[in-house]
This record gives sequence, C-alpha cells and structure tokens, in this order.
Amino acid sequence: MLPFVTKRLIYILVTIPVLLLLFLGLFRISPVDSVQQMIDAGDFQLDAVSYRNTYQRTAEKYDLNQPLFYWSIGTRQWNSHYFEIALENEKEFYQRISRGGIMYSDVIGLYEKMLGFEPKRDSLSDQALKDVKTLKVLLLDASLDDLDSHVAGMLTNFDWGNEEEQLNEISQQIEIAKVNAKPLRSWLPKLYWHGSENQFHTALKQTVRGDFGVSLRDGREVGDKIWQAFYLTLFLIFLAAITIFPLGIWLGKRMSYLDRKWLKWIERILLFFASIPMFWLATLLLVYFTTPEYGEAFHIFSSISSYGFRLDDGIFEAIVRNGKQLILPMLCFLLSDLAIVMRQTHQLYNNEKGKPYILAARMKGLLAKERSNKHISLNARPQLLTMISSGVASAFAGSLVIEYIFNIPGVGRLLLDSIRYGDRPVLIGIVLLLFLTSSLIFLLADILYRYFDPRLKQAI
Amino acid sequence: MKIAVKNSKNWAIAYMIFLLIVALIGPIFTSNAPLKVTIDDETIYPALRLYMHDSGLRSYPSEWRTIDWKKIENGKQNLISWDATYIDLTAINGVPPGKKGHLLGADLFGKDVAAGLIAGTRVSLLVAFIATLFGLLLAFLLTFLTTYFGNQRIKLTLLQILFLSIFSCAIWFYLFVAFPQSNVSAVTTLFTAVAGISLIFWLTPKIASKKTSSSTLSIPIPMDEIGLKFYEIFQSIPKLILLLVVIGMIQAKGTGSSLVSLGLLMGALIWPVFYRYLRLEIQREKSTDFFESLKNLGFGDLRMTLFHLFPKAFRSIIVPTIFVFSSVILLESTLSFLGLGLSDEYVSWGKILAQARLRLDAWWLAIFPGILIFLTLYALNIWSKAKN
Repeated sequence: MLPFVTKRLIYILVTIPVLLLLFLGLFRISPVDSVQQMIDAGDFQLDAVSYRNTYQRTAEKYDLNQPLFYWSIGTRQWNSHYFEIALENEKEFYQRISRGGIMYSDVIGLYEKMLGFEPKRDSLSDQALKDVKTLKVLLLDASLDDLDSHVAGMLTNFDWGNEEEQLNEISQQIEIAKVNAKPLRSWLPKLYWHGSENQFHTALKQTVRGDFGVSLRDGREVGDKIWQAFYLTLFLIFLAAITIFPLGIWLGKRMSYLDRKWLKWIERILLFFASIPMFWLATLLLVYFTTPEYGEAFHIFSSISSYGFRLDDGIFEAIVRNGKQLILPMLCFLLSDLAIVMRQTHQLYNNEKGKPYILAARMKGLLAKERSNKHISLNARPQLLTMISSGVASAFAGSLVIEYIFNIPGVGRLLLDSIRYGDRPVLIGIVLLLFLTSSLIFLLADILYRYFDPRLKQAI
Repeated sequence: MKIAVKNSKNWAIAYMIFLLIVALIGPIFTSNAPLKVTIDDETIYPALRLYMHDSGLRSYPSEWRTIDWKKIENGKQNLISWDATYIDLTAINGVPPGKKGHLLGADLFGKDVAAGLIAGTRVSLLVAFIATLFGLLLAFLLTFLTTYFGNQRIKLTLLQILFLSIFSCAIWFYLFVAFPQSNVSAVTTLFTAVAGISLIFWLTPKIASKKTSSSTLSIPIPMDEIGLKFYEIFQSIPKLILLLVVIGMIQAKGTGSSLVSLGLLMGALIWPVFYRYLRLEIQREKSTDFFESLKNLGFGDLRMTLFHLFPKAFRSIIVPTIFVFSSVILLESTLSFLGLGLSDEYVSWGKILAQARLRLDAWWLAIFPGILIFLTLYALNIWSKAKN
C-alpha cells in the first residue's frame, strides 16, 4: 500500500512543474499581450518612447519580461540583456539587426534613440518630416544597411538645426556597429544561463509557497480569491453528491430485482431530463421560475440579480438565509446526473446477476432482495467507487455551467471571469487546484479500491 | 421494441439529413433579398444569386445592391425575409414571435431568430465536421505510429539519440532563433528535416559498427506505451475545462475564435475517443487468423497495417464518430453560451440561447434554440444507439 501511494504522490508532484511549464509556454506563444491590455486599460495617450518605457516597467512589475526557463539558446552576438526586453517589436528589431553579425552591445539603445528622434515640426520642411516618419516605419522591417543609408540621406539632404547632433550620434553608432560586426557569430548557437530569474522558477516558488501573487484584475490575493470560491464549489458538489449517489444507487439496485411500473416510469422521465443539455435545462428553469412574467404561480424563486450565495460567515447561517437559492442549481445537478448513476448501477447489478456465485446463492434459497443487498453489493463496491470518483471529478465541469447561469461565485465562475479578463495568476492557480483535487480524488478512490477488493492488494 | 428502435432510427437519420440540407441551402431562404422578382418583364432570382455569390459561383450584380428589396411589389418575399446578421432597428431589445415580420421573434440585437437558427445550423455542423475529421486524422496518425512501431521496433543506439537531439536542436535554432524570418518555406524545412533524420539513421549504424565493432547498446523506444500515457493524461482532464483554459490563453480578450480554429482546437482535444477504439481494434485484429495468414503470405508490416488492419478498424469507430459529432455540437454551443466561443461574425445556437439570461421574459430566446440543440443531440444519440 505505502509504495503505491508514494509512487502516485511522486507522480502528482512531478506533473505540477510540467503543467506549469506547459502553461507558461502557451502564454508565451499566445497572441494575447497582457501588458498591452493593462496599459490600454489605463486609458491615456502615450508617445512612442514613454509607451516603450511604460511597457517595460509594467512587464517588470509582473515578471513578464523574464525568460521562460533557466536557460535559452541564442546566437553568439547577443548578450544576456537581450532577454530582458519586453516589447515584441524591439526584440524583433534586435533579432533582425543581429542577423548580419552585428554585436548586440554595439546597437543597444539604438532602437530607443531612433524612436525618440522627434524634431520640432515648425522648423522643418514637409519632405524632412516625411523622412522622419519613414524612419519609424523602417524600424519595423528594414536591415541595418537600409537604416544607415536612410539616416545618411537625411543628414545630407536637410538642415536639422539642434537635432543634428542626435542624428549624428545614431549614424556614428551604426558605423561602429558595422565595423565591429562578426558575421560568423550569427551562425553559432550559445547557451545563455539565466539563473533563478525566470518565469518558471518564480511560478514554481509561488506554487510551493501556495502564494500566487495578486490578481491582475482587482489586485486581491489570488490565494484568498480562489480559496473562497473553491470552498463554495466544494460545498455545492458535496451537496449534490450526497443526494445523487445514494438515491441513484438505491434506485438502480431496486430496479435490478424489482419489476415495478413506477420504477420504469421514473427511469424514463429521468432519462429524458438527462438527455437535455444542462445549460438549456438551467436556462429554462431560470426563465420560468424566477420571474413573475409567466404568472405568480411560477414565480417561486427570487431573481438571479439577487442571487449571491456566500459562505463567508458559516455554512448553517448561509443555508438558513439563502438556502432557497440552492434549490434550482441542485435540481439541475439532480436531473442531469441522477439518470446516469441509476443506469450504471442497474447495468452493474444486472451483469453480476449472471455470475455463478449468485446462482449458488439462489440455490441456497436466498431471496432476490437478499442476493442483491448482501452478495452483489459487496462485489459491486469497487465499480461503484470508480463511478463515484469519476462522477465527482467531472462534476467540476458541470458546476461551472451552473455557477455561470445562477450567478454563484464559485470556482467555475472565477475561472470564466479570469479567462475573460486575461487574469493569468488566477487562471494558473485554478488549474493547479483543479488538477490537485482531481488527482487526490482518484488517489483516494484507488486506495479504497484496494480496501474493497483485497485481491488487488496482493497484486502489488 | 426492436421495431420502435428501428423506426426512431429512421426518424433520427431523416432529421439529420434535413438538418444537413438546411445547413447547405438554408441561406437561400433566409435573406433580405426576395426569391423571385419581376422587374421590367424580366424575372430575376436575387436570393439565389446572393447565395451563389457567397459560395463563389457567380457574381452578384452591383446595381442590385442598392435596391431596397422590402419595397419591391411585384415579387415574392423570401420565406424568412431577414439576413442572419441583419440588424432590424425597429426590433432592438427583442420582439416576440410573429410580430413585426419576425417568424420566431427577434433577439436583443434586433436580429431575426429563425434566420439565426438556420445560420447556426450551418455553423454547428461545420464546426462539428472540422473537429471530427481533425480528431480522426490525429487519432489515425497516432494509432499508426504506436501500433506500427510498437514497443520494440524503434531501437536507437546512444549515438543515434545524441545525433538526433543535436540535429533537431540545430533545426530549431536556425529556423526560429538565428534566422526566424528568412524565406525558408515549410516544404523545404520538412524536406531538410526528413532528409537529415534518415541520413542519421542510415549513417550511424555504419559509423558505430566501424568504431565499436562488438556491441552497440541500443535502447528500444516504447511508442505504444508513450501513446497510452498520452491518452490517459488527455482522458483524465474534463474536456470543457481544458478547452476553456486553452481558449483563455490563446484567444485575445473579448474576441472570439474563427470557425476553423475552434474546430481544429476541439479536434485536438477529442482524438482520445477515436484512439482508444482504433488501438483496441488493431490489437484485436493482430491476434486473429486473418492477420496470421496475411503474415504467412509474406505481406509487409506497413502494407498490412495500412491496407488491411486500418480499413477493418475504421469500421469499429462509426459509433464513436457519431458520439464525438454530437459532443462537439454540445461543446460548441456550451462555449458560445458562456460567451467564449465563436467570434461576433458567426451566429450560433448557443449565442441566441445565452441572451435568454439577459432578458428573462423573452421565452422565445430560450425555447427555440434549445429545442434545436436538444433534437439534434437526441437524434444523434438514437442513431448511435441503433448502430450499436
């Protein structure tokens, strides 16, 4: 038993870093620029240089400018400062420039200088202003030679007055970079070591401490936020599980040895409800039972805008105060899952019925009810356990839809909100929590499985 | 009982065929343009022309675009005289069925529900087709790799592993790091990669045998076990949550996905269902006399797998295919319902249904799309049960 549990726990522990790395990698390749979204939310106009600075600062604040992993492979003429650039355009600029073998240390700051070259409007001709604009465009896709010739042209064609010095500086820096170029170096890879200053390390550290930082949306502690929501969802699922599984198993068991009409009708009705998509069922319940629109008789529950089931001050108080609001969500759970549990139990008991040991029990003179309750029930326990554990694990997906429709501030709703707002820390926290929960459920089920079926104990 | 099943199966198939026809030619009958108009003794079919224009068959005359078809008198209005995306300004905030010329009402944006449902049929079926086909393709590739190579067939010497890793690192480095925007086409890249890898496989045994003639340590790569582990991992995560998380990371805030990308994404998540059946079936086939006799006839492994095992195995996944098809439809409508599905240019059943949450007295927004989703899933369910 012990080696089995340790093996599984190690397996879970190893999966967490892999999962983290996968997520961070996905965030990296995704087109969503969360820094830009944060700056845009600030809602003020920025010129190019201060935008770049703000971007860099915001990225640094949330560690978004750090490299992904402990090391990266790059070309030889970069240096480790290259990995600290947050702005995608700037990064691309250095990559493009360095392709000709230009050393990174020679062109450092060139991007900023060219971006910041803003001569005064009134003292210049239209053609010169056009040239300045072209320079900004060239930054996006031209090679260093093109930039050089453009800057040289600008220098010879116009009189720049006070800004001439700036332009000269740029031109000189390009010249120096060209002289120092080492073309062969762009063909050679180099391993850059970042040490612990990387996203993966930070995320791992946070996970070990259980502290995921603050939410990008409202600045609250991620741990707090998730924990409150998770508490509520667990409560919901627990409530659903202690009604659905005993009831479903009881009904299924009775169906296997009783041939009654009412049982068949119950099965038919439940199967019909189970084949309705859950989100439609929930919407229908919501539409018809929470508004006075269709007659006062149907207006049983308060409207969803006042739905706000919270567990802040004690479970019992919450139930006494707002227990009525839980009836519709519970009904949704019940109608969509009860039939499945009942069906599976029925099938399980029917399968067992054909086995020789039941024939022996029958020959011994046991009644159908006794056979079912004493003999089949013991043998069916492992399979019932599998059904329950996978049912509970998948209930999180079901509760997501229900929480969304009925405005319950659970973990599913939090997940949806964090997806909608691009709230990365919360998203990572929720995913890890869901992974841990489902792994622990399956682990618990496997341990109990061995307890119920002693043959498995010897197998290991 | 048997007759009842058979009968309902026929109904289910008939319903699905009807849905397919609606998806294909529905846009002709839901259009602002009328079916048939007589102008100056000349009969024209604007709705048909518009449909042909949208499918790239014929052009739509530019002078027709300026005509306000609603005011044309000597013609026949269309069955549903609204485009699915047309915003009827008089019907904003919803109109009950039958009012203001909206057969099944209008939604909160003033779009016609009936036209939206028909456009949604097209979208749903298209997403489901793309996802199912892509999932099948992925499952086929993975099953082929894992069953053909098995646990023992690929044996790599340490030298080969070393060369392979260096080679793949080099490809990655030169393509994405050193020269990321050089004009190397995908075909050239693929060709280089394949050529390089085969060169390594061809060369290394020779080099190895020359240098260390006696024993080269070879490590078997357990492809089948790797595939199974992959399957288990994918299978253990709830589909909806995985899909939501991936969408949340990939999708830009507030925008939806395009039809094709959502289909491909779902296909990439749904393949385990096919993989399980395909792999089991091929394992089973391998233990039959049929396989044994093919082997004795001297058939090669590749030929047997591709042309004899797979055609037989594909027969066993008809039922899973129907199941996957229905679950993709359900997933797509759930996603759209949650507001994280397709982008605004597409109309979808789930999106219309989602509006029922915003205006609770608008029962027509809850009933009609829901019935359509339910019937479709139910029909597919009956069909797959009958196939079983």
